[in-house]
Amino acid sequence: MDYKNIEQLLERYWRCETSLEEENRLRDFFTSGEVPAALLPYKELFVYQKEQQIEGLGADFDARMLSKVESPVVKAKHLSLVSRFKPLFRAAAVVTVFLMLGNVAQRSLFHNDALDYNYNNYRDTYDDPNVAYKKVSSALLILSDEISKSNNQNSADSICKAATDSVMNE
Amino acid sequence: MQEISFRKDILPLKDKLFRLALRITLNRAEAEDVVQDTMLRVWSRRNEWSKFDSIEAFCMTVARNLAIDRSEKMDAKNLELIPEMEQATDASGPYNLLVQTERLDLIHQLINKLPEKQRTVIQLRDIEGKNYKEIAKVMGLTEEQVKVTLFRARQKVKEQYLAIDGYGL
Amino acid sequence: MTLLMTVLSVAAMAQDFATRFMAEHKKDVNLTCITISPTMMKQILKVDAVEKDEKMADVISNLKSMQLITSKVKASRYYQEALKVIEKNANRFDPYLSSKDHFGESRIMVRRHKGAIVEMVMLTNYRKAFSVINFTGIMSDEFISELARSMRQKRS
Repeated sequence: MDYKNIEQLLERYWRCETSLEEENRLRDFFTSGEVPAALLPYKELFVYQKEQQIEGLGADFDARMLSKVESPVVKAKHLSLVSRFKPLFRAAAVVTVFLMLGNVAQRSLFHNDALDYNYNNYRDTYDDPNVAYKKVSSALLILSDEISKSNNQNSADSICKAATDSVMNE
Repeated sequence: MQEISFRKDILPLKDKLFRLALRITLNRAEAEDVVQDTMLRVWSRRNEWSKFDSIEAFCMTVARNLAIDRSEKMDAKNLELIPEMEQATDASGPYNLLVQTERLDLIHQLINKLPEKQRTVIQLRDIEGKNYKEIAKVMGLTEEQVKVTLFRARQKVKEQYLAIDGYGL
Repeated sequence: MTLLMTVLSVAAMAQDFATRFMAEHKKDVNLTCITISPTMMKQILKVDAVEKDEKMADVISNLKSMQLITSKVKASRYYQEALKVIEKNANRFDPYLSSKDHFGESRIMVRRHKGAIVEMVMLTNYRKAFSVINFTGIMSDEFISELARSMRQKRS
């Protein structure tokens, strides 16, 4: 989907002249990951729409409803009890922070003796770990966003490889 | 006479109805109650189902009306939305890192601040993917009115979002 | 005498980038610094959302601390000052990634110690806002490139 095409679609979208199919294409485009800088301002508007589609009620609702409604003898029909978990509003966004760390064995080699920081003067900004977590997940998102959009990905890989090599040789 | 079953025809609509009710009442517990009430009402009128072109549209109309009733009773709570939004942006000091999750929060609040008709149109079009004809049926409007309402809603959200997020600078 | 002791204590125990940067901007009201200490990081692991998310829990268990610095004004100036702090400590930090576009620029730096990446610093001057994201922890060498790769996979 090329840039000019999307720009035109967007213009028509704001004028409510787009078809449902075209609107789907817009949502797909903005959630596909490679959004040119000039269009970035609109990205989250469409990400939001897609994420809102997963809101719903859980299987326990079905059970409650069915018990209230007098249903005839239950035949061996298939029950379409689709269980959906109530999404935390941020669930979709947070889940995209998909990190794979090096294996445990490698980590335990370095463990705490590599960390030489003095944390004594750290004064926590928040009392509530839930709020603190919000900040951490936001920061991780920006970080991963930045890395994935960076056009230096190749050099990152070679730096990584070089680093790995130097570690192996240590 | 067509066999209609609660399990097959009504229950599967629960998520769509919930999303609509939630968009109108802005309260999960209320929205769930609305879905329950809607289904019970529709079920009690099952003798009339053959009269309806679309059970889904009928359910959504009932849900919407019930949700509006409830939210009118909760009106005082809706006004809290505005300070709530300001709270979100000031939560941690004078400047918040506006990142994806917070932008999504912002959009959520902007949409929920719209008048009910505009919120509902956005929900039915941009999230549920309904065509103008269906939306008109659920909302008791003409298709032209739906389009106008949608236009206003999308414009407002866009302008406010770009202004707050700083993109408009 | 006290100066000598200060120098000694600094040499023995490292400080992260954010601490150094804020030390040079002590009275600056434009800058907001958010701190999450190792204690708080451990508490975050017990947050409901984290306990239920294995991958997130895995990540956070490797992070020791986080500091976030932001400013809504004078972004370019602060960005340049941040770069100067990096330059002054050039032997600590390796450049990792940088990007630039119409709206601004961004740089990620890492500090390695005894074979692990122990600190990650991301400086941003974007849309007239300045920010520093600063993590310490034990991050493996694959951490960063895997991050990008899985993001792309998750999104497509």
